[in-house]
Amino acid sequence: MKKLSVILFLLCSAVLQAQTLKVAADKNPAIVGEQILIQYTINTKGNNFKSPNFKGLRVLSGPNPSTQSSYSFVNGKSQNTSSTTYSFYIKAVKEGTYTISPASITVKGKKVQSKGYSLRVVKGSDKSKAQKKALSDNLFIKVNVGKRNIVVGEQILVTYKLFTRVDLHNTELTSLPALNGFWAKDLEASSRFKRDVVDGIAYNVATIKKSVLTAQKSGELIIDPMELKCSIRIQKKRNNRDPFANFFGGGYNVQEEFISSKAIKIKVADLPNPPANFKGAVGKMSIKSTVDNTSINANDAITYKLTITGTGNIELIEPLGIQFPEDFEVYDPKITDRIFEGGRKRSIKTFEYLLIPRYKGNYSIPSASLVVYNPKSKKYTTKKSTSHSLTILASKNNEQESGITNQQQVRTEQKDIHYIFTEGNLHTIKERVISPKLFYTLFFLPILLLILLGIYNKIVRKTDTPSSNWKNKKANKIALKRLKNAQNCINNNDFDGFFEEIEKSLWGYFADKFKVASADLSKETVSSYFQSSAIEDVIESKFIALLDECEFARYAPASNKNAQMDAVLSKAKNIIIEVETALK
Amino acid sequence: MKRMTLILSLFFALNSFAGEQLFLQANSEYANDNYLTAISLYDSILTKGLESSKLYYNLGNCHYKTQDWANAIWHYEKSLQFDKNEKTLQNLELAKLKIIDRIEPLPQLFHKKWWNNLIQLLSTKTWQILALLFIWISLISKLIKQVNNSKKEYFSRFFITLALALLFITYSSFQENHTKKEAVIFTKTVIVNSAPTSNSTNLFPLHSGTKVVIIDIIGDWINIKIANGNSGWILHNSVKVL
Repeated sequence: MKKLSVILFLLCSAVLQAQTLKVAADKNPAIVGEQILIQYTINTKGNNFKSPNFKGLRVLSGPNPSTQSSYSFVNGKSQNTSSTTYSFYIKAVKEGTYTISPASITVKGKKVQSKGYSLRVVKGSDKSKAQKKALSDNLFIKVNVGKRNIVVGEQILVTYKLFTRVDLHNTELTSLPALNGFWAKDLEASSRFKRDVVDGIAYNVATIKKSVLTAQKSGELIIDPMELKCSIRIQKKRNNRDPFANFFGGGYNVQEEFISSKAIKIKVADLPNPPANFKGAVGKMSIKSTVDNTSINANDAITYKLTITGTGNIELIEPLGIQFPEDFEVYDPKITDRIFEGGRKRSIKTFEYLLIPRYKGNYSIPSASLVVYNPKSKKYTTKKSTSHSLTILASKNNEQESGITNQQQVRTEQKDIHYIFTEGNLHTIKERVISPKLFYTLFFLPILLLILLGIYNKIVRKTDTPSSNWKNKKANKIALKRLKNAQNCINNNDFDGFFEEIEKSLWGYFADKFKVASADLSKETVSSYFQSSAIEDVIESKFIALLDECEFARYAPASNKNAQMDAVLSKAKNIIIEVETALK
Repeated sequence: MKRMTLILSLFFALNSFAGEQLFLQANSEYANDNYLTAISLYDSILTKGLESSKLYYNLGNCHYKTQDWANAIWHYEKSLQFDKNEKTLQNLELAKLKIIDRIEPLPQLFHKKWWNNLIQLLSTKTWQILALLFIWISLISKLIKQVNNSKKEYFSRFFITLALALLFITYSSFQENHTKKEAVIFTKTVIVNSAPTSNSTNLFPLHSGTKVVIIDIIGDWINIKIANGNSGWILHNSVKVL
């Protein structure tokens, strides 16, 4: 029974052991600034280790996994054990109690969690503080900034120097300064130590980092601290019992220390009223342009070189917009620069354009202009290159050009606004329209007058006979129309035809006018219709007399035919006019 | 009385002369790229009570050069109210390319387009004068006929028809150009709401420089309509009325 329980207990413990992720620290409580080792151990193999959350603590390294396995053969029984340890080196910056959240690991598909861990960090003793102080006096980073108040685009030189009086074994950059808002250009820095005396104390000084920063935006920008991990060799106390150790000079302890520089605030001001064509060039620069050939055949290449020399943010200057002649083929510029100390020393940037003129003629490349802000004089200056005039001769190998002209579409697309008007044509501010009230009054008044006039005409002048003058004209027109054929006869000297035509016309006129059927046409009907229409007897008798005359003339022609024809024609005309007038 | 009018007319003459001087001065400032000075000089002409389509056009150019697109568009539109100049239209198109909102206007039926083109051919005032001219001509011709006792019509009917057609055009032109209130948005971004309250649904955002038509005003809110036919409410202080 006892045996059984022992076996059971062992089994249980084995099972339990397999399921736990243990956590342990090498020291608890720990001292501020001390390195603390935290280990998570599981006695099987696991994977997918999830790190805990070290809130408020700084992780120096980790997780560093290590696996141990042992194989034992005892009394003919083999046993295989393995354990995995994940270790972290952490450091507390402030005293207090820190709770490390549980870590977890997956073992055979099962998630195993450790317990949370509470770590107490206490203040170091005065002695260790004093030690710290002594160390910080002997080992520190100093940041040198050329200027603290700059404008956007201005450059500053920042140097990080390590001052040391201790025996440095090794240094390692742990965090580089984040340079938000700056464009940084690292310069070569010799990390060789030199001796330097500060306040009468000699230090070994090394320049760790040297950069030229160009401010890209305005405001208060911060150069974050740089952190350096230093390994310091401290000689062990002499161990008299070990002569060999002393002999080999050994016996060093390596202590790791983290030192960091101070954060530096830089005030960056906006550029004062930048002109429209200012592209961000700050410094002291000059511009020059050259052309390799001013007289060349069409379709041969020209090299146009624009050189900017000077100090400042030359490296950041974009190609200047140069208005090359439209007939030139322009390739993207080849940009070369030789920047010294990030532009703090006289640097050169060249833009090399390859141009191929396509047609012969005289062209000119306008001068390129660069607006530069000088932070020293606080002024903008416009630097201009020379303009070049080019003579392009006819193409040598392209015979097409002379024969067939290559027509080009004229570019009509508008690139800039039209220029201002030079004349004001000013007038006082007033309504741009005639007010609707006035307009409608002025418009409807004549209409009203017109209507009134119409009404007046209808009422007052209705009884008035229309003027005889106008009527005569109309009658005349009718007569002429009727007697058109007769007129033709006169022209043709057709005597018989003429009188027949006159008769026909008169009868036709009568029939039409009084709506008489042609069968009823007779001299009696004429008199009856004329009388019923209240036409004077004179006219009636004239009409009949004319008809008689026509009849008579047809059978007994007169001697002077032409004179008779004319007389009859005018008579016929008159009679029609008279009837017409009498009828109205 | 006579003296008074003389003094007044003299004053106006002097005033407009001073205005022209300022105008020339502003032009030279513009030529020297001093756009801000030019703007203040042109504005001082406006405060003298003088204006012209060319003045607004030049102001639009100044604002364009200082990249104040909303102001540029406002001034070009203002200039177009006086005179439909080709230069102004083209500059306005360029300025419109610079602003954020790109609104596709609703397509118009061809007869409407023709009608609009006809209406915009002349200014409302010119249409008004033409209409009045023809109606008075027809009245006078009728009167001449009456006095002369002649039967001649003197085209009086033709003139009356023409005058009535012009009346119709004038009315449409007046409606189009003078009763329609337009405005340009000056706030950088403005959210168009579905109702004249701040907690109503947000419909769509508009940005500065966009031209809107004002349909209605309730308190601080205005009901606006944009060229693609969408409408909504925005605060009155986010626009500048043309």
